[in-house]
Amino acid sequence: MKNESEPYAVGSAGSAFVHDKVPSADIVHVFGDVDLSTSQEFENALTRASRAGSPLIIDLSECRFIDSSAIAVMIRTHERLGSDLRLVVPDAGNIARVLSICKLDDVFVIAPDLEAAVVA
Amino acid sequence: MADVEHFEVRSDISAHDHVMGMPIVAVVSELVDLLGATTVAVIGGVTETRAVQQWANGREPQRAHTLRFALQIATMIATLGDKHVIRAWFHGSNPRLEDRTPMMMLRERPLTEVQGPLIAAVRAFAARNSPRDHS
Repeated sequence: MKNESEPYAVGSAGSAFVHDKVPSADIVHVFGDVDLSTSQEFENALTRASRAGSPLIIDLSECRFIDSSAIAVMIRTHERLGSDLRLVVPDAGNIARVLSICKLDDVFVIAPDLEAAVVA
Repeated sequence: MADVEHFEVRSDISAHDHVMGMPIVAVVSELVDLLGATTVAVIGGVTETRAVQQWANGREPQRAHTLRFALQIATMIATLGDKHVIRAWFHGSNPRLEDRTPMMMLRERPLTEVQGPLIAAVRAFAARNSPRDHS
């Protein structure tokens, strides 16, 4: 039975995580805010999207906000995948600034757009 | 540079009539063409673009009414600009919607709750961006 009043995808207010695949990588598109209330969903989405030996791209181009819990998720994912993890982070935006302050722009493989991340 | 396409001009009434008469498979296909599979997945409340592909291949989406409504307002916006304008409208924080993004409103809230505000926001957008105003 369909129920239009209840979104059937697991999701909290203000965020969405959508998994997409291209031949050379898996992509998780992040929308909205990732904070303590949504970071577990974020981690679940990354875990589901990960395939052994295949690059995983976290597309943060439409992500408005991340906090320390979201960063911790990405660090754990990086520990698991190493350079197979890539981030899409537009230059000069809020997310780029946060990663720079945390000195993580030297840790993660970061690309300014999805196309660059796929070929990185 | 991406191709810029302009769609047939439609009033909001004709946009409604156009969309209501379409099979859901065609609705999904047209929405994907206008917004991309990822945005359609967000609006449709799923976490995989694979699901969008399944809808395009005939599987009934759970939120068919929401997708149909999304196409209705996308069609209204299409009278005012190309795909980039349509996508920007769905993804952007809208001051007429208390700074919420239409795409996330469609995902997170009951359709009956968001239809009125979204239609009003599109009509306001159309009123400010009508080609008649650019003289």
